[in-house]
Amino acid sequence: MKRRKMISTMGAISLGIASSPLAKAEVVKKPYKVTEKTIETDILIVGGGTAGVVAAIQAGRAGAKTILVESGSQLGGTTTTGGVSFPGIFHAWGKQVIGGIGWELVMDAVNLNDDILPNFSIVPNNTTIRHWRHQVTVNPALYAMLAEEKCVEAGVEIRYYETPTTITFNKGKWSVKTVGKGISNEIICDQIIDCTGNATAASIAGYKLLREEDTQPGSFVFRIGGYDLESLDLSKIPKEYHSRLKQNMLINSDVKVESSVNNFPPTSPYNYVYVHGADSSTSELHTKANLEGRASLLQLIRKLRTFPGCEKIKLLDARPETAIRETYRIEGLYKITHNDYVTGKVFEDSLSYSFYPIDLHRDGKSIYQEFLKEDVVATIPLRALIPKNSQNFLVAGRCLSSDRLANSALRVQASCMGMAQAAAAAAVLAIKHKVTPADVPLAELKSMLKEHGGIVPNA
Amino acid sequence: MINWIKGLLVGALLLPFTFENGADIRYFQQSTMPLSDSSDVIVSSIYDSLANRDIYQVKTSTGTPVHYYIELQEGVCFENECRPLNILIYWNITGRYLGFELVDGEFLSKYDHEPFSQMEYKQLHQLLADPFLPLGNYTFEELVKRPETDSTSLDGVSGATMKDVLEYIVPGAAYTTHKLWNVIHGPIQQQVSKLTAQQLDALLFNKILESSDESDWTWAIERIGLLPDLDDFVIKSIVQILIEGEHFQSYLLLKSLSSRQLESEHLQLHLFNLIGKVDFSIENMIFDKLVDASLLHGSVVHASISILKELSGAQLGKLLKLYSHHNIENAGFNQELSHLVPNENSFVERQVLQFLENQNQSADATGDL
Repeated sequence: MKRRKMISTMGAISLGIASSPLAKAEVVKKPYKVTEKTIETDILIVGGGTAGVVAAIQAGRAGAKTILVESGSQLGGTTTTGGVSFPGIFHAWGKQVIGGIGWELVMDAVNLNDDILPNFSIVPNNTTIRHWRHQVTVNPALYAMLAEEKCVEAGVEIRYYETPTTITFNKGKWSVKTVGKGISNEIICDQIIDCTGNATAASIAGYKLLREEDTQPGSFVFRIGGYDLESLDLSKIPKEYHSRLKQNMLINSDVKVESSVNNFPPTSPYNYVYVHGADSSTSELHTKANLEGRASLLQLIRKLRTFPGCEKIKLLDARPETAIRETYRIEGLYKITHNDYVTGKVFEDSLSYSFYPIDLHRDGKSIYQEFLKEDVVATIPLRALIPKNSQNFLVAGRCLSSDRLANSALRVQASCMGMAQAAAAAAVLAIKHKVTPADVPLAELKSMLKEHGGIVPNA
Repeated sequence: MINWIKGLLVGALLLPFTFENGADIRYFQQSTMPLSDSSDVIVSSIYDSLANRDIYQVKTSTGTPVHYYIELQEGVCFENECRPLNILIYWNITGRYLGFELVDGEFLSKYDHEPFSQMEYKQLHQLLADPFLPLGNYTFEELVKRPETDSTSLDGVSGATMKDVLEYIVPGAAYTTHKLWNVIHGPIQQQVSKLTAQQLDALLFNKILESSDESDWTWAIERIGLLPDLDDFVIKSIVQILIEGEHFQSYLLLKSLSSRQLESEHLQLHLFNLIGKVDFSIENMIFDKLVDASLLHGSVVHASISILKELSGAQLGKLLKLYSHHNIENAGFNQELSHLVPNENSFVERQVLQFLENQNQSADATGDL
C-alpha cells in the first residue's frame, strides 16, 4: 500500500515537471531568414581595431552620427585581439607627440589596472635603453572594454560580426552593403573611413592598392610558464630556443617598480611565433594565418617540454588571432617616403606625428632597423590618408599611403591612433563644409584636432 | 676617520666635475645639496643589515641630509697575488651615484696590477654613473669565461669577456667595474633613498627641485605624497611643474599626490585653474585626479562655471563625471550648464541632458526642489 502510494506520488511529481511553465516556453524557431535593413549615418568606420576605435570616438564626439562595423567580437584589433598589448610610441625626445583619444584610452587602461607609465623623460639610446621601453603595457581585455564604453558614450553604433561586401558611390552618398550573422544591411553614409588595416573597404570601392611581393611575417602572441629560467641549464638546450625561454620570462609581471627614477615598469611577459606571409585580408587567408600560428605554437610547446627543466611548461595564454604586420597600402594623394620619415618632413597638411624606428621584419629571422636622429619626429599628412581619385573616403591605420620602409614605422599603434583621429576630424568637417576631405579648411581641421586633444605638427 | 672625511667634505668634495688632487683620486658628479650651503656637517653611521656594512649619512647641523657614502674594502687578485682595495663610494640624497674617492695613495689597477690611467678613471666614473648598463643582468662568473683553477675575487681573469658587455667595462678591469657598478646600483642605493625619504619635508622637497639633475626631480616628485603639508612654495612648485615640466613628471606628480593632500582647497583651486593653461592630457589627468579627493570644494565648482564653454565635449564629460562622483548639486553651475542645450554637437547635448536629468532625479529622491 505504501509502495503504491509512493509510486502514485512520484507520478504526480513527474507530471508536475512535465507541465511546468518552463516546458511550455519551448517554441519552434521560424525558418531561417536574413533580416535586411537600410541604415543611414553620417560616417561609417570600417574596422574596429587600433585606428577604427579612435576614429569612431572622434567622429562621435564631434557630433557626427557614426557607425562602426567590426568583423570580430571586440574592439582594439592588434592591441587586444592580436595581443600586441603595449601600444607606442607616444613620446619622442622627452615630449609627448601623440595624444588625444588614443592616449586617453591608454591612460584609462593604465589607471584602472594600477599600472604605471614608463619614464618618458629617459630618452632611449638604442643600446642600453631600447625604443620599446617607451611602449605602454595595457591590459587588453580592459582596453577593449574601455574602447567600447567610450564608443557608446560618444553615440557610436557598434556593429560586430559585420563586414562590407559592396561599396558604391551615388549622388554624393556611399551605399555600403554589409553582411553578418543573419543580417544583410545597406548603410547609407556621407563619409567612409577605412580602418581595416588591409584597405579592404578601399579595395571594394575600387581604389588602387599596392602590395610587396614578400610581406613581413605576422606574429602569433602567447605566454608560457611553468618553468624557472634561472635554474635551467641552457647548455643542454639548443640555442635557437634560448630566446623563446628568455623573452617570455624576461620580466616578471609580479615585479613592482619601487621608483620611477631610473626604471621602466615591467612589461607583460610576451612571446610570439612568426607566421610567414600572414594575411588577414580575406577570411580564408586569415584562417590560414591563424591555423599556422597555432600549429607552430603547439609544435614549439611540445619541443620545449622535451628539454631538461622545461618538462612542465604550460601555455598560459594564446591570443585568438595572428597579428598582421603588412598587407596592402592605398595609393594616396601623397605617398610618405622613407626619406620623409627619417628626416621628419613637415607638410602643410601634416595632422599627426609618428615616432618609431624603421622596423622591417625582413625574412622572419632578422629585423632591419633604422633609428631616427635626435629631435627628428616624422609627420603624417592628410593626403596620405586619401586614396587617389576618391571622394568622401579616407583610410587610417597601416594601409596609409607610404613606401615600404616608411610603412614599417608608420604601422605602429600610436601612429595609427594619431592618424585615425585626424581622419575622423577631416570627415566631420567635410560633411560640415559639404566638400571632400582633401578640400577641408586645414586651419579649422587642425583647430578641431587640438580641441579634442590631438597634437598637431607646427600648429 | 669620520672627522677626516668631514674635513675633506667641507673642502672641495662636491665640485661638479672630476679631478685628481695629489695622491688622492676623486671623481664626482653634481650633488643636490652643495656643502657650501651649510656651515657644519655631521656624519653618522647607519648599519645596513642587508649589505652588512656601515652607511655614512652626511648631514647639515640642522639635520638635512647632504649625501651618503660607504667604505668598500675588497681584495683584487691576479695570479694568486692579491692586494686590498679601499675605496669610498658616494651617493646623492636621492640615491643617485655621486662619485668615488681613493685616498692615502690608494689606486685602482687592472688585471696585471697596472694602475688605472686618468682616462680609465674617467671611463669608470662614466660607466658607474649610467644606471642602465646591463652589468646588473650578469654575475661576474657569467661576465667572463673563467679558467677552472681561478680563485673567486679577482680582476686577474684572463678569459674573454662576454662580447656584448665588453663596451661596458674598463678594459682589463672587469671585476672592478662589475663589482663597483653592482654595489652602486644595488640595495644600498635603495637604502639611502629610503633614508632621505624618511626625512623629506617641504624645504628639502623644494631644494631637490632646484637640482640640475632631472632624475632628482623625478625622485622628489614621486615622493610628494610623503609631505605632511603642502605649503605655498610646494604648491608653487607643483604648478610650475605642471606648466613647464616634462609630460612624465606632470603625470608622476598628479599620480603621487595623496588623497589627504587633495583635500586642500588651495591645491584644488590651483589645479583647477590650470585648465586651459596646460597640455590637454594633463588637463584630463587633473580631472581624473580630483576624483580621488574625499570632497570637492564649492570654490572649485564655482570656478568651473566660467570655463564651461571652453571645454571640449570629452572634457565636459570628465567634469560632469567628477561632479557626479562627488554628488555636486550647485544651482549656479546647473543653470550655466543648461545654457549648453540645445547644442549643435549631439554628444555634448546628450551629456548635459543626462547630467541634469540625474540631478533632478536626485533632487526628487531627497525631496529637494
